[in-house]
Amino acid sequence: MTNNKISSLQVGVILSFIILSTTSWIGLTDIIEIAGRDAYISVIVAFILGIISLIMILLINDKDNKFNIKKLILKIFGKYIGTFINMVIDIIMIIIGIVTLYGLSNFIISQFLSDTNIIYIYISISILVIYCVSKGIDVIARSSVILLFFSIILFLIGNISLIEEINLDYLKPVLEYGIKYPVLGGIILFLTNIVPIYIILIIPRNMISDKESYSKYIIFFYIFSMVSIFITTFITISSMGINLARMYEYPEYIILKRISLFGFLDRIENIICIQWIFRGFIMLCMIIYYVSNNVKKNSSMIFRIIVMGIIIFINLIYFKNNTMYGEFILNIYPFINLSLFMIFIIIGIRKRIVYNE
Amino acid sequence: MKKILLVIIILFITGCNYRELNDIAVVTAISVDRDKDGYKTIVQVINPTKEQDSTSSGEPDFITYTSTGKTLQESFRKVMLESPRKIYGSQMQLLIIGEELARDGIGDILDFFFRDPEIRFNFNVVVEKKNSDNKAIKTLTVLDNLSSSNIMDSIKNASNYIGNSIDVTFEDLMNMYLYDNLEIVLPSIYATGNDNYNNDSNLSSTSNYSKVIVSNLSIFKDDKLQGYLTFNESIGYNFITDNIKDTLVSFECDNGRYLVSEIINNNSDIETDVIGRKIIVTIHGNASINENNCDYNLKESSEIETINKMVNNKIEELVSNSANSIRNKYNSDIFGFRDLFYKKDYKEYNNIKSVWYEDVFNDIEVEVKSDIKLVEKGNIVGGIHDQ
Amino acid sequence: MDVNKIVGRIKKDTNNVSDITYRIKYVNKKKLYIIYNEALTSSDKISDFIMRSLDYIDNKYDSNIDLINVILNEISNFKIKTINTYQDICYYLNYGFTIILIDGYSKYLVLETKRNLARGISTPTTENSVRGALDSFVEDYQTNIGLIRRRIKSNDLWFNNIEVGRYTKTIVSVIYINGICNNNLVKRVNNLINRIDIDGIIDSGTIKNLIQKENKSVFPTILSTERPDKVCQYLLEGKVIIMVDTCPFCLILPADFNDFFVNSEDNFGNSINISLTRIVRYVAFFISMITPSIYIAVTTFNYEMLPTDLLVNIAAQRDNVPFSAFFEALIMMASFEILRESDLRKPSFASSALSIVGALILGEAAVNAGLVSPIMIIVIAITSISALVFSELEMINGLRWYRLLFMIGAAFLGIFGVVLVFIYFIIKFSSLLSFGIPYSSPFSPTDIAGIKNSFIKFPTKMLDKRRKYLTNNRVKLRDSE
Repeated sequence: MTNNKISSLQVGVILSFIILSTTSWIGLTDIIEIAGRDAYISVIVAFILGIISLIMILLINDKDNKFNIKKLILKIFGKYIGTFINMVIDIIMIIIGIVTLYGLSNFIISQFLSDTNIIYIYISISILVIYCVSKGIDVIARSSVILLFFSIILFLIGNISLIEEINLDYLKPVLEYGIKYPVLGGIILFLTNIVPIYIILIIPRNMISDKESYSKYIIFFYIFSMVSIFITTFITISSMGINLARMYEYPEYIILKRISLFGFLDRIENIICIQWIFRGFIMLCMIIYYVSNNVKKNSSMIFRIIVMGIIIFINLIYFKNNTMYGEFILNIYPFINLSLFMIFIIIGIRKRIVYNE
Repeated sequence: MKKILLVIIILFITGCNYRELNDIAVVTAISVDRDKDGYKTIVQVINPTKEQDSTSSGEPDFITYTSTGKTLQESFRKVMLESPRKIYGSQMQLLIIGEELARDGIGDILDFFFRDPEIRFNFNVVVEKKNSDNKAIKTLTVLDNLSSSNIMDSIKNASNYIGNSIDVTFEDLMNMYLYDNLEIVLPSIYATGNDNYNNDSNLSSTSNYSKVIVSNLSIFKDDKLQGYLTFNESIGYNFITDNIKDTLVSFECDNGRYLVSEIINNNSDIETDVIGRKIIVTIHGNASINENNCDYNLKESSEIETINKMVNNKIEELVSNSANSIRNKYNSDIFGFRDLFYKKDYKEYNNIKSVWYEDVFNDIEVEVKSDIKLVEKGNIVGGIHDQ
Repeated sequence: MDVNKIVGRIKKDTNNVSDITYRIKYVNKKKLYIIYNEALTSSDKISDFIMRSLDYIDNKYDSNIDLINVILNEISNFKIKTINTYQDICYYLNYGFTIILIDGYSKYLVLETKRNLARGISTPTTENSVRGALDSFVEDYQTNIGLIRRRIKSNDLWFNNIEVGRYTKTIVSVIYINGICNNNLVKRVNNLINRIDIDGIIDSGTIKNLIQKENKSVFPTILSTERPDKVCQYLLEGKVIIMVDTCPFCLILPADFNDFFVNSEDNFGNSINISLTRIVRYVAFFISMITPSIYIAVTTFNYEMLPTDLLVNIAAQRDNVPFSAFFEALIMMASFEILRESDLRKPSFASSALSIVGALILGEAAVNAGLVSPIMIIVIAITSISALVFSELEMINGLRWYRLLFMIGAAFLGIFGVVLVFIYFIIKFSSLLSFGIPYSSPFSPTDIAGIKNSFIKFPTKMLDKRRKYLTNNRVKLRDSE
């Protein structure tokens, strides 16, 4: 009955939001471009590869773990190398934050508000994110459960209404160009969507109130989010065909424009895509929480504002238009995540070998 | 304290895209045609009036603006020279393409509609025949207060109950355009009647008014209009591509006397044989007898069998004739046989892809099997001419 | 101290006020002072019990006795105490007791003779009870405790009384059931009340604001009620009750979000019917917050969300209105709030004028004057009626603030602004703590026992556990089969 304990259900929900957050503006676009009609096979490949990340997380955050990932790195690698590795991971997390913020804001600008300057969207989202993080991890956890509840309702309404649009002919011929492209798409989906779940390690095991069901909930929510991505991909390609899906910038939003619910309620795509805004928001909150975790309490607010300011600034000067963004996330971003994955494998292996407490 | 300050600051900024409803003109239909080297566009805009308001009772429910320009975007912007409000396109319901523009190729106008984030993709697309001279969008009608909904409903009725037209949305058009294996097919309309199509006198007479009539399908090849199908060819095309929901088949038993039967609940399956270059179309369904002026005795099951066979023969004849005549006259694969070959066996298809129209298309053997069952006869058991 | 001196001091301190009566009586040749406050005591009790007993003692015993012990033994008042300080004399005098000062003794006797200054037990005034007990609390502390004890007849119903207020010395009692309720919570509440140092407590609202200081939110975190059956149900759930003397409304804490949607009479109904009713209440909550802002967002930013016919209709209606949608909504909301506020405070002679004016503002006259559009009136009517679903006034007032924020968000950024304010609302809602219990408690630290009684209600046989965050003693209904 104390109020800074998080339940493992909440950790699972945060995990699922992290995996789902980059689907809408990075993941789907990548795999549709690479794998084409067989993008759903990429999802299955990514699911299989992601089990490695899950095992890593369960190894690093095992039953007796009392430290969050930053302190753990300092303990394993010593002070100087540990601080260096922490800084590298922080920079990678900031890059993930930059990509997420640009994706979310660009989606809002291009679909909802056509003439607005993007800086207003950046500032509004940033104020909310900083406010949420300043309340602590338990508030982030609680809000994410409530937001998941609303997201599930919208997800079900959207996808059940689209079942009648599925036309399996659009998926034929299967594997026309061989298995190479879906597997490549699967690897990229794994790198862009699943590798950031290492943010979960910022929550040490002893902060969780029911420790025994931690692994159960993590596995359950991992499966849940991968099934969601699979359903979205499958419905998008089988309702629209691959040519149209390649042309659009946000195919999963366009497919929602076809919903006609009960015959009269037929312009609800703006409401159903609110769930993507929730996902991006929780992801940004977790990133800022991760980066500002070991800063002392008095200066932590200023630190968060500075980090958010850095993210906005780099967004403004680097990503001038959507084409540069598309090139970045296809060519450079997966390698950044690959290095993150490598770092965490090294941490996991070293923890097993060196640090057995 | 800080929160209140923030709220007060925000109160003074009311958004960056803030438009009142009085500043926009809601567009419901657009008609595009060729005009010398550029485009001539006619835009139909709703005039929002309250019904009980006495000061605006004489105004029409919509008005049209005409403008020309070298590109589509230019001519739409020129509308603002006339109109006090900005064009807002997201409620658009209908796009009418003039025949002259269609013969030149419709690929150039598609990018504008595709790229605009406001426009939704579920509006209908039709082709307007040359002799109706862009009048269809301006015609006032009694039963529907917008000409666009009038046209759309007529097309829906024709495709549902007669079977000589199909309901094509812009997304379907894009799919047909982007996909190399499909050719474009669009419904067509034309307007006839007197010259009072765009004013009140069209609404005040019961029979002598201008109207918009749905015609048969128009056939394209490589995004250029080739011509219009005949009535039977349209129905045959719809049978092959499984678009028929309800249609009438009539055959003559004596001179001038016919038996009419209505096909309901039907669907067509297509089997492809790539190596043997063969397409087998199987039509299943139910039929009912709607009008019987022949001497068949409908109480005997052998007569019913005979009628059933004759209906099936008639359908098979209609469909295979239309398949052959479309191929001979236009040589355009609107049926989607190319796509079927590709999906069935893509390796074999890749060999013949480059010579499709020259060698393969006309040599495909199209076999039609019709498996319609007569199930209903209406109210009367026999016929009134029996006795 | 000499009794004469004490009497002189009392007279000086109270400025010889006329309702304190002093009577001298000689019993067994000793001088007794009988002091009582006529406004607070009932004279029957004094004459029937005290005077008669003193006469009896006078007759029975002779003069060489230890008078104070004899009186303690023989007097037929049921409540009698001995005190020995001057402050206690003043306290009990103001409380309605009768003081007996015996010459020569340094201990004094106080006897209970309180007059019943409260009204009788009647029906509740602010909460309608369709099918439940119809008695309500009164202003007398003992009667209220009696109404609770009638329903919970157990030795585990404990309470401790604290006196709060320098001038009013009001008794505030913290009631809980030992064994169900959490001890930390009780200790915390006791500490909070003990720390209050204020001139006076007149009603329980002051206590509520003083112990609730840590939550800076517009939503209420303490329930208040005047019905004893509701109080007993909450006691059995493991909550703590604060009862303040002279106020019929007692406080129930901790309260979370779900408690404002749950009615104690829901136990009567069929679970399917009650589930639909609960869903209606939750939907009404959101409708009341979001509807004006969705109207503003849809008619100024995102027109594509309306079907064409509705858009043309709204455009025709808004042609004549000179204001923008945001100001129109603001004006209508303000006039409705003014109407509602004057409705609460109106004297009875102005009621018919009020209904006429209300119909003018919110009706055809305003439309024909060209100030508002008809659809705005419908939006405001739906909003306001949905807000009145709740019985707790604080909740309706809390909705007002968020409604305003949503309207500002919609005017700023359209539907995206509404989404941003919605996320802000969820963050604020999740960060509230009500005495250590998270406010979003049945949903967010997910508790199956709580969800079974929230927006869907399971049959009563399945509601067999208490809430995890309130108590450790979780089983309340054992299956008898």
